Amino acid sequence: MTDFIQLVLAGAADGAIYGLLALALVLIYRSTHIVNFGQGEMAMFATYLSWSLLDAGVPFWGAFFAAIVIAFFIGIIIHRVLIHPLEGSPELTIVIVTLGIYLFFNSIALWIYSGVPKVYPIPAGVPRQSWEVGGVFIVPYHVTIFAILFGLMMLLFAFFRFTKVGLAMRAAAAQPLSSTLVGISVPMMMMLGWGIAAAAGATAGMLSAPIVVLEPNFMATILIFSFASAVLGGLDSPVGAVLGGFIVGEVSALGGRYIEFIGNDLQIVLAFALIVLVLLFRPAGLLGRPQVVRV
Amino acid sequence: MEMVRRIEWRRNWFLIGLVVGVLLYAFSGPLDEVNARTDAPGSGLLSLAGPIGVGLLFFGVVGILTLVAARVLGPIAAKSATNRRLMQGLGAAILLLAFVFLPWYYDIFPYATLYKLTIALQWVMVIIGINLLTGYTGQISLGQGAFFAIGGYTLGIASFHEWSLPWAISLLIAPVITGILGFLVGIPSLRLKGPYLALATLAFAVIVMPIAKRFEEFTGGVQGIAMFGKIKLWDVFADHSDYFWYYLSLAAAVLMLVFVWNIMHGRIGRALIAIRDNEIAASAMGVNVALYKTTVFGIAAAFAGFAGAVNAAVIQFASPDQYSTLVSIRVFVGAVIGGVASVPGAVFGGLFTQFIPDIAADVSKAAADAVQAVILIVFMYAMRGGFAGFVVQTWHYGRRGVQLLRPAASREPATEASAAASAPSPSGSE
Repeated sequence: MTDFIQLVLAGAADGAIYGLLALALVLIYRSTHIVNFGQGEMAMFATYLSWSLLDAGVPFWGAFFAAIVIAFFIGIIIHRVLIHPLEGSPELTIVIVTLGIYLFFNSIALWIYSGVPKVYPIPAGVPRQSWEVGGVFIVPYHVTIFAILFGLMMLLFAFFRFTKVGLAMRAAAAQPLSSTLVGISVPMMMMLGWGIAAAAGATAGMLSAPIVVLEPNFMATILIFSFASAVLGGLDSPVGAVLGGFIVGEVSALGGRYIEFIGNDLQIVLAFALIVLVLLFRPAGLLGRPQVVRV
Repeated sequence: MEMVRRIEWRRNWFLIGLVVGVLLYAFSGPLDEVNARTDAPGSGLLSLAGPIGVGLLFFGVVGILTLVAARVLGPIAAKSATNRRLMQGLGAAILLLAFVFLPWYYDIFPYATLYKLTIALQWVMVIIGINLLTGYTGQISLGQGAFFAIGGYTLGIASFHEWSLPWAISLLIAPVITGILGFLVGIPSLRLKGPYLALATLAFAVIVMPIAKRFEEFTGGVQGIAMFGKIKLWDVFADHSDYFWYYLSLAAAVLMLVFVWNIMHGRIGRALIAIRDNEIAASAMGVNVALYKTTVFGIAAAFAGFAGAVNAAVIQFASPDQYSTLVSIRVFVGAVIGGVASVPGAVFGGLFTQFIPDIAADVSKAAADAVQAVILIVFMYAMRGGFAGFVVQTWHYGRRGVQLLRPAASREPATEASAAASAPSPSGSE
């Protein structure tokens, strides 16, 4: 039983990270209806930047927040320079451009930092020793991940619920034309959406780097899990993305343990199966709104 | 100054590019020397000048040749359909001959070796499949690298690792297996569109290698399957195995090109284009959308599978390292840059996929993909039809009459204007 609880806890920690990156995907999908294949690599690059800062002697939390701010501006620049001019282009074009972003950051990271894995420290002030509660080991770092995810969710909720900019962003996503009429600059809101998504992605990257090693491809696998989470939760539902993240985290942790065929290596197959099953049987996801297409 | 402002930049950029390219190329030598003397981190960027210069030069030369061809040959082709077909046939024959005799003169091209050209032909095969799937049927697949890998492993497992079938038979089994798999993968694709399909196929590409590593007893796990020296060719070819694989790849690529060309210029092709442009209308016209889509998926997968099997035979190895997810993305990029809705574009795309990393490696070994990414993004803004689209556009431009300056002061005789008025086609799917 303790074994099971232990697994559930580990799965939830992974799930929180998937949920965070899925949240980034959802924010972009909601505002621009683009599935951003470059999201993971953008996050990877931001993580490397924070590693550089740490390497230069900046204290952990300073590097952490600096990387988030830089990622925010990278997101804004990418939208401004690459995505915005393509508005109204065919889907194929936009998919290709986001793939270009993927390739670009992947190879730039390889160029600057080489493929040698780097050790990324766990945040300063978080104890390394696990706490034992009734036979179950609780990893303090996992608690940190939950706390950050929870804090970020609250922040985003408040931002989208109570601030003028947040409301304007929601309006721009839901009704671009009407929003323009009431004076909201829709491109500006989309740009902000890209910035916030990039910042959320960077957070996910920096939180997962201590668990896996930091190397240029480390987000590729996490991206697939996050896609699974976003699709499961519904690509236009932020709450769904986080919920989906937890479900995907649990499914892969428990599946890896109890389905002998899956083991530790094939958890990603479960993510793939989830993606296909959800897209086939409930394309809108758990919390998403079904899309009605007018013919 | 007035002259400069009146230049038609948009249409004549490749002429200007030619001039800039020549200048950049001329100065790239001295720049390289500067580069060699400093070891500051950003100085590698200087050596970009040479490759960019060559790239611009290339487009300039191709553009001018196309313009000349359009002026000289265009009127003849426009006279009758027979003329047109004759000239198309002639063009294809010249291209084919160029490839047939390539082993005798490939060393005039930088970076080219027979081995690399053989592999480039295998990329051409994969890309033809992508053309059929994405360009003509409108389904984005980022998973072709997975079929490529499965093809390679099929050869390894069936002939060397698990069973000992003759390798020639394994080469033929590989496309059958991947074709069936592709057909199955195509079934979910019936309900998925655009980015969703891209996502599902990308996930497919990602899971293949973990699966290969898991079934170690079949696939050799991380070490892969080595076939060094185990592939015995017939005595006739034994001393010329590199030529044998080159011509085998060439023959297969040509067969696939002809196959796709024929499909696209017939009933099936029209049905596929109808599905791409408006699926609902197509099904209302009696096109069996489900059957066509899954079949096309199967065909594209079979092409990739065969290419993968030949590839494994040539490099005599099949291991997880050579089939990363990036392979899928790279061939897709090659297809897009060649021209995703163009059969001849696949040839350019294959060469691009194989040789751009070499060219980019001059700048930095690791930056190859970054260079590809930049080229890709530039293409998406400037030439959405890819290289083939560029040639088609330039051809039409040439037919209508070259215009260096804006119309206000143009003294170009408008002789050809009426004859070419019917020529422009927006899709550029020639």
